[in-house]
Amino acid sequence: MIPRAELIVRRRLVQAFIDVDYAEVKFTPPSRVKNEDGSFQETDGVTLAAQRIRLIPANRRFAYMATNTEAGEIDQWPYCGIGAHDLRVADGYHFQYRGTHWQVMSIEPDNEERTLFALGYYGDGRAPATSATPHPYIDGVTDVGGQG
Amino acid sequence: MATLIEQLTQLRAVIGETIPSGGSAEDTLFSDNELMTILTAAGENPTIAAKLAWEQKAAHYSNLVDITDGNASRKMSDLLDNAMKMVEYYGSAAKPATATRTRIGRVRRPW
Repeated sequence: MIPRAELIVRRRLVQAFIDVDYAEVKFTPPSRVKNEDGSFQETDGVTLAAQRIRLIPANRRFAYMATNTEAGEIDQWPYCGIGAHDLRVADGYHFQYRGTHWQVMSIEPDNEERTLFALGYYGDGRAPATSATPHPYIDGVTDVGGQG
Repeated sequence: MATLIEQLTQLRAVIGETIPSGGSAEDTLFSDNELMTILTAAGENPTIAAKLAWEQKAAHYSNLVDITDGNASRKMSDLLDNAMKMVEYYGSAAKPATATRTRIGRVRRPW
């Protein structure tokens, strides 16, 4: 438990850090709708109002972005995002920024001071699955390239 | 004569405790009641009120220490130094004009 005065100060420091180099983004939550045959289809929910975050590039984002562990490989994401403590965000939310696609991959559970989350970067060539872009597995698209 | 709300707004502005847009006084270190108490104690003099408020902020900041948390660090001891400078500034600004005076000294030359 952080004392109130310290918490206010910490949040101000975070806000100042964000305001120096911020991105105004609109998160779109993922949603699933049930088809007539009982299957589910992934689609987009209602896009949220613009929120201010700061994008922080990972130092090794141009290197091999996985760590080998005994249990298997753990993905490392190329960017982090940092936002206010009350940022409305959840796993799987995605957004566009300067014509490129980004997706929230995981969120640090401790958000008293700020919200910190890992971001997958899709560039401008690949959008997360939406109702407008068929998903290769969910929508039954078989021609995904390189599969013969 | 400024209204009470104007006085509070002005006081918040000079002590860096403006209510953020979409927020409330809960997002700042002072409630409106606390600031009104300060204004009353200062005899509604805005400069003295600012000094008193900065003193209270300095008291809050005196409890904060530098934090290193993994790769991130916060040097929060700077806040106390900055607050004390503001106390000093408003302290000298609040003094009456006669509090300081010109000094005339004798120059002693070695020749």
